[in-house]
Amino acid sequence: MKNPLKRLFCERALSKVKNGDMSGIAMLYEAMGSQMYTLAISILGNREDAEDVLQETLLKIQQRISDYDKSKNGYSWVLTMTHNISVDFFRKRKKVVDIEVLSDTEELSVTYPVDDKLIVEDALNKLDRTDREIIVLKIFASLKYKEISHLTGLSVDAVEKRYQRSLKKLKEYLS
Amino acid sequence: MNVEKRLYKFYLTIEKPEMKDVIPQETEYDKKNKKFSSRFWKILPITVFVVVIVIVFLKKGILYRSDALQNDFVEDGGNADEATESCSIGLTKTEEDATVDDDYPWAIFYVYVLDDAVKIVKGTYVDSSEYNDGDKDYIVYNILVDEILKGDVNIKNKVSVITEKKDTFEIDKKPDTFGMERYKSATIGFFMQLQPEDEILLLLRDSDVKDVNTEESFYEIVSEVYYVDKDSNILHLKYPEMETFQVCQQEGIALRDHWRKTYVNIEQLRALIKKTNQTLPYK
Repeated sequence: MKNPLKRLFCERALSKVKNGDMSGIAMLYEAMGSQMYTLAISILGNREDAEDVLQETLLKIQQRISDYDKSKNGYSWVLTMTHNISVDFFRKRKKVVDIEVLSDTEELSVTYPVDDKLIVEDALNKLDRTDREIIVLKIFASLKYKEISHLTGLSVDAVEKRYQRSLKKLKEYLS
Repeated sequence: MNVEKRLYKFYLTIEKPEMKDVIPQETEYDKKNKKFSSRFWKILPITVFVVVIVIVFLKKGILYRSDALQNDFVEDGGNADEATESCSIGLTKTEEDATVDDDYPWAIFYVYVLDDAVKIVKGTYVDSSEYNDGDKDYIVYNILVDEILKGDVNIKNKVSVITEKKDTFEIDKKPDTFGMERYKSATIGFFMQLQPEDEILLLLRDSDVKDVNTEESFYEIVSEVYYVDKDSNILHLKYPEMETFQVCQQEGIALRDHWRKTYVNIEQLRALIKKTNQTLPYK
């Protein structure tokens, strides 16, 4: 599940963008589009919004590439940006949703094919948003607890506890 | 299947959107870049023309100077052939000097060591000295070993690497005659513009000496040419076509293919080696 290559590609792509070569954006998307998209889905709960977030994140990366420090962890930088934009999006949307009086379940519904996917999806939807995000960051984006802590603003201990607790819950749901 | 694996597989089923749907439209920055690019192509032919004219004139000047030197030499009682030779050597040297890229402040080197495992050593260049064995000139580079990144290297603090003092590399067939403290019977090709305290990375490779008697097989076996940018701590790969080095293979992707196109931070290399505890396949 670990993927150091993704990190290398990501940093290479960001360097390209920083040097004015915008093909780096496509390279970045190839390397970690899935992680960004899945993270956005885990926060927002639906594909359409996640797609918007993805687009906005890639645009922000272009605009704010001067902030990117090559000596820092580019992979984490991109995921942090995805997280922040997703959370912003979630908050803005929540206001709209409150006005439109939509239920939480509607918000979180993600359409996937049936059988096992549906079961896993259902189990994930039983977790709260932060726990779901931690699971994605840990399992799919292969981030360390420390990196997740930095990204989510939770303490390292809290991240680890939440992760273990969520795994336990998921085990129960999926058994 | 454990939960983590199951979740990972689930995440893999989520297909990201098509690139065209998410990649941002052309930005102001791109537009500016395009403008610059079209201007560049417009002025390129004129620039090339001017450069060619300048080169032709310069060449003529050099040839004229060579003829003049030759005439002077012959007038002074010298042989015309010798005069031509000395002039052409001068010219060749000038051309070689011109090919030295001053933008590259780092070391370029490759290292080949006779042993049965691959080692990677990080070191600092100290100084160099010259040596003549009565037949050829050699340069001895002294390197302080800072850190062993990979492999059990029975190596002392200082390593001396020796190369023939010429532009093309040959295998050093008399490695033990120098009496230097150095790593086993290293056969090393070196080409470098090192400054004291430059950080370098030695990749020590194993092989059978019988296989490396020709330059061709030497290139087949000696695979790594790296240089280290001391400012950015970035390890670059210089000659990818000679490269047969794979540090790690994960998910079916050879890191080597990645390195072909890019560069790797030493810290990342260290982390990779540590993480994968990988042997380094060469054959």
